[in-house]
Amino acid sequence: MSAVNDAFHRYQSELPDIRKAAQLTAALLRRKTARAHITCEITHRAKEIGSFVTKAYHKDYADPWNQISDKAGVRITVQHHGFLDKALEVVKGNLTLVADPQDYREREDIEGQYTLQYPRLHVQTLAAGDLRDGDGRPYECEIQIRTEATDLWARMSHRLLYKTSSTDVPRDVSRSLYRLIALVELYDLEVERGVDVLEKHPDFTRTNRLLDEAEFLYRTFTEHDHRRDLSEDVLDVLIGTLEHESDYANKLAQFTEQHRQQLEDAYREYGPTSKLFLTHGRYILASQPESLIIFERLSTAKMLLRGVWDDELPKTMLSDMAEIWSVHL
Amino acid sequence: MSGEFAQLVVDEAIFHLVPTRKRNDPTPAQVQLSETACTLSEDVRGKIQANFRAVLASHGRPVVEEFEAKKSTLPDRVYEYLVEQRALVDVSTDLAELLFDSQKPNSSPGLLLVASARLAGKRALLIVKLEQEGGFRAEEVLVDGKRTFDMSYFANLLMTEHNKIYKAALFCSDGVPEDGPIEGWTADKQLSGRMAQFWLRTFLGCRQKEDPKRLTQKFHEAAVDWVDKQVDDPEKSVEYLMAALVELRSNTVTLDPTSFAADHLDLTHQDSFLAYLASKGIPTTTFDKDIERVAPRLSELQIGFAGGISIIAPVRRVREDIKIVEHADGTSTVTVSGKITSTRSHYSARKPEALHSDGPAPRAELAG
Repeated sequence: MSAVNDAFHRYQSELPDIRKAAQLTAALLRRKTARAHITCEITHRAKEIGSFVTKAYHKDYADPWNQISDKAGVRITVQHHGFLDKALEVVKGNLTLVADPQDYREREDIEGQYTLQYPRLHVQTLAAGDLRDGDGRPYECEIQIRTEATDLWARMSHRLLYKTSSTDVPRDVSRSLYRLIALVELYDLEVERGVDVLEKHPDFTRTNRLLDEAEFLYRTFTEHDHRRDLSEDVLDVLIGTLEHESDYANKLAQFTEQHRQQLEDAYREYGPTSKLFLTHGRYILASQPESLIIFERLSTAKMLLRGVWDDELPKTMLSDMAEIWSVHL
Repeated sequence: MSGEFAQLVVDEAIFHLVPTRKRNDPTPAQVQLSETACTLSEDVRGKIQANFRAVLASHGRPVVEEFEAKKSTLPDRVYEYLVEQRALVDVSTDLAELLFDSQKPNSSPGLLLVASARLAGKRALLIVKLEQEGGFRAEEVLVDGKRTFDMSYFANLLMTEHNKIYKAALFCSDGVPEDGPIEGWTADKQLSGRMAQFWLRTFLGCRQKEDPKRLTQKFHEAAVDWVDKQVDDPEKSVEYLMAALVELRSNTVTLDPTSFAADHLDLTHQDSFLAYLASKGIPTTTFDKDIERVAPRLSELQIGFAGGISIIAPVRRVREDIKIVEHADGTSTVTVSGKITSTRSHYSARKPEALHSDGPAPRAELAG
């Protein structure tokens, strides 16, 4: 009991640092997955104190502090199955792995048959930010990688199968929950197929592709939601400045990297969390992903931008962006 | 590239009230000095910063201290601040007194804003003269349970969205050499023409870094060169060249290449033109125009052909009397309308062989 008690007190005192370690790891992965064009949500958490203590007792750990490895946790929820390996590569490429990934996606059962099971894909890494615990060791972080459908299933099943720790789950309930895994697999495959088909479809307009590119890059600066309808209206105008631009996605990515610090400053001061936007509703486009395209166009084709903008969208929207970027229109 | 002022960050600001200086006033007006920097909320600081990024981008001109004929102590005060010898409040009070002394009698009263700033991370000082202006505000109210708007008038507004009346200067530690004149930028939004001399010379103690005669000449040369190299359509070439000559010959005392491009060039040519100017070191923002060096070249336009023929026409007759039609094979037909009054031999400095070139001849029609 004293081991659990010691671990509890230590966990309580180090919790702020553990939270920070999880937050920094999530922030790093957010930037890296965005740059890798992976559509995903990234969340983080430090294990609740109650949950830590419960796990320590329940698992009867001799050394709970070291044996509970998910004190800091990050979850990457990707849009579909096709992004799982890409997300795993991002984790492996940007964080130090403590052990081999636990990849149960195609694990065979004892008889050599594939059975329905939770497609666990967990990676234990050192947390980003080089924060260290009381012993001077870097904090670890458990990274879970799932599809949106798997995440839905996992959260539901966690509540039903594991929370009733003192009671056996009836076999028919357990079986029906695992049967849903088949639907999860089917769902994931259909989403992936749909995304692939749409990307190749001529009607999936250049506007959508351009917005996707801008969103990926914008997410490396902020996770803030934007107005999709406004993005579409603005992109319909911006596209008129890009007719002669080949490989614009690459050009935009290069521009973003070249001006990263300046863009970070601009979004901090005029973007979605700024008082000018939140209180006065000004600089609205600095809270939109297409702002990256506007800044790029202001830098390289401002007159063309001005020309196509006039009569299509409010001038103030553009002049606000020109103010931020210090461009004479 | 973004503008050079995109990395201007305003940190702290202080205001002083600079009243009108009246001649023969028995009780002379006095500058009302603030004793400490004002509190800038995040939104106010951000908006001030954005406003000055914009005004410097559109109207800012490089200036340099008039080192030989010292007219103001402002450069010394700026130097003291930038090398961290004196603090913002201390220096700003000197600047307010200096502005008061620099202004002509009966100049408009105004506020002097002095702000500690950074430009690309370097210590900088922003100096702005602001004039208050009037404006209304409508506010929704209920009268007898019915919704309406009440109007209020404010006579002391500053930096409203379309305000045209302020002057600004920015000096950065990058522009402070050990033993030479300090350099910076200044913008004057008050006048549509030249920069107010009391502001530039008497108060700032500076002059424009670029000689207007030289800038105007460079603009002329670059514009002609760009048309020659970048515009394939002969009719457009003449149209653009005419526009440049007319702009230079006009009575305006300043020239804004960005406005010129927007007003006279096709949309697809505007960025190319401004990029070409920038590549030649010519500002794409407003500069003072002085055509002394180029005046003789502004009255006639010359159209040259590969075959050696040239047509020289007075600018004022080109639009009416010359028509150009371009053909698919790259040649053009130029029609000159008018009454022929003389034909004579013409001296040419070209090499003799050029005169006998077998190159493709234009199809020229001289009708009239």
